[in-house]
Amino acid sequence: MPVTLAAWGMGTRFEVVLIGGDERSLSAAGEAALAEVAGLDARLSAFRRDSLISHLNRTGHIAPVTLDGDLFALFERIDEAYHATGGAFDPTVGPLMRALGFRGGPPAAPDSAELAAARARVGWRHVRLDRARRTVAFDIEGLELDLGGVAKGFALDLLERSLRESGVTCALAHGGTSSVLALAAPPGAPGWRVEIAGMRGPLLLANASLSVSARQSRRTAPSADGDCPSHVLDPRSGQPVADGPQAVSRAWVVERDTAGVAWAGTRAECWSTAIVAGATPVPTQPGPWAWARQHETGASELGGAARSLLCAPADASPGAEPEPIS
Amino acid sequence: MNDLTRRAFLMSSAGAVTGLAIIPEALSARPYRAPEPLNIALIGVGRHGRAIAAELAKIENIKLAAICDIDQQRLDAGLRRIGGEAGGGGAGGGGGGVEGFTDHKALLDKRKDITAVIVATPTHLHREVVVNALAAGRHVYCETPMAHTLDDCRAIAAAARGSKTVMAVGLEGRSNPVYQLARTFFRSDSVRDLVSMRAQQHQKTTWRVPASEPAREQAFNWRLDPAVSLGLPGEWGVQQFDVFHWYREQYPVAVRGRGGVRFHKDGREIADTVQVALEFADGAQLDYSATLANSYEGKFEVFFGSNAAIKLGWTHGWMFKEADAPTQGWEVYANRQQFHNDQGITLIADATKLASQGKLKEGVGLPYPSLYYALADFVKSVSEGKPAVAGADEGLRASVVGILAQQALRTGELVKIDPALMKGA
Repeated sequence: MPVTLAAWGMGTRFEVVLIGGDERSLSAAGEAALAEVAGLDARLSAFRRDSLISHLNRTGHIAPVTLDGDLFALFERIDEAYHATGGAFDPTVGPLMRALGFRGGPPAAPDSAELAAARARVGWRHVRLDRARRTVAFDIEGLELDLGGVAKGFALDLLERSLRESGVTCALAHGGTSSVLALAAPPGAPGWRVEIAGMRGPLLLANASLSVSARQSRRTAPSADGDCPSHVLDPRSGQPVADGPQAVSRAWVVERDTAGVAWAGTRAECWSTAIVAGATPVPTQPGPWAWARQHETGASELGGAARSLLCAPADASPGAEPEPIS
Repeated sequence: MNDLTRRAFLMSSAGAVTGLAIIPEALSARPYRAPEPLNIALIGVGRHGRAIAAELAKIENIKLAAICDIDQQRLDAGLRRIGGEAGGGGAGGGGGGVEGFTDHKALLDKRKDITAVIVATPTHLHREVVVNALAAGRHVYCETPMAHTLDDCRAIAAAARGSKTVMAVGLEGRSNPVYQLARTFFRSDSVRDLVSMRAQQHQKTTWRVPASEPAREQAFNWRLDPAVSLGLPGEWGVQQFDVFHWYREQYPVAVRGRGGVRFHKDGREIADTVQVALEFADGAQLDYSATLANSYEGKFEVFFGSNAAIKLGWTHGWMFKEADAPTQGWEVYANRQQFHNDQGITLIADATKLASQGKLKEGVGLPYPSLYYALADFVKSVSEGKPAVAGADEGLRASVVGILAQQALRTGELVKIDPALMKGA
């Protein structure tokens, strides 16, 4: 009997389905894994004044802040994603999000001087990572990190590690249905069945993470010329991204670092966030996501097309077809 | 406190009262910086131990130099997360890393450079570690409850009295800036006649800890073991009961309680839902409710007085005034301008209404979790020679209340609290 557990975190509902072993052990394992999510929420939420990220945003320009192993590794992954996406993935867009009314409070259409000031405070290039000391610092004042574009994927990665440490091998977890991570497939099945809204057919997921990002998931006030800006910014231009299709990205659980984290959830979410912000989904660096194909699925019932990035494991031979979504 | 519980937290006072936020404005947003570098060890690397490590990382000029857990796998997991090298067992520790130990005595012997130790082991294992650390001349921070038996509490208190180093107990309310400020209101009679008190901790969780082998499972699930666990009143309640002891400067004289397994019917004996009544000498009563089966309204404490109620929620504090309560001098200014006055508090009129509309800015509330302040105060005591905010005697008294509350729960009888116990003798 599969055991299903749920908990609130990061403004959404995380759910985990576990198979194998007795119900008591699975429940305890699932609960411990979901507790990682709650702990992360407390550390990462830009909406909470007492979070580590808020602490970093307040003091990062004054003195370097020491991070624990997991969080520092996350920052390293973000750095990789920033470079791999050509800067389209950039979690420093907070001031701009606020200036555009995307972060709490009533939506606003501020004048251009305010926007220009906000744009001057954006840029991952201002973040300094010291790998020897495991610290992070900002080289300008006013920089603000908002990890909303990667937090759920990261939470799923730590959740996955927790499950494995508890001896669970077969499970599926998701955060708000927009980030999904599958461990091994259920017995007798090739994978966990996942459906993506607006796209045809189920996808079979095993030892991989899927992330869906859309541009139109939050209503905002129209600007002066009547456009409705989306809640996604292109960090490279500082402009809201015009309406467009959703992005789906998938990353495989291929290798683990010394801390036992496989980073598939984080990578998948960084890429889907980057694609809706305008990134071209063809990474230039070889690695666990070396091959990418832009895959047009054609019209769905909703009338739009979805561009998707499919990443192949590093050991797949060149030219091998990754599973298409269709 | 997350958004859901915060809204519920504030909406309970409709109509008859005006809500005022209690915020220590004078609070600096900079974390504490120890005047001299300090090396600290953490003993006990379960979930709470890791939360402690996360808060320590915010305090400047200190280093978590070593961690210890009797379970090798848990130690390795802790090292991986915190940033040391896995596989340590006394042998690890590259430059700048965190050294791992499975035996706290080996840690105390080898690392003379570590002058302070934080104890976050299971409650029934506190005594040995704390007494050894104090005997080895270290400063000690011990989590609550301080111990699970009266004997162990007395042994720890005696060791602390005989020691020249700092002994602090994790009674977090006493270090919490919101609670400290709210206490000045309480003591200065804003509340007027105290009528009654309430507290709760509601959180839906099994309290079970997973383990990959049966042998470890029993050790990790000490909270569910009736031989050693103080149950919800001891493990959860002590922190909250102590807020009332501290505010009132007195301890209850009797306790009764009822509890049972209302939901987690997995063979456990430790009650998952309890109601405890703590009676004070003047007749006022503290009603305490704790459950592992429902999360509504989370964790808070309330003092009900004839002029006002004070509600405390660990990162937030509120005072709800009756319509006929006299206006204090400073409130006149507060109603005209919503920013801080010379008493160092910020009052937001109509805060309840604003909060229920979701308009209250996130700026309200402490910048760090409650645990941070207790740890920072410990580091301050160690670095600056100040006495501990909550020492072993306070720890003993608070723990005794928890021990007797659990006893009342198990027997179903009224348990009198001997005032002689409360003297720490």
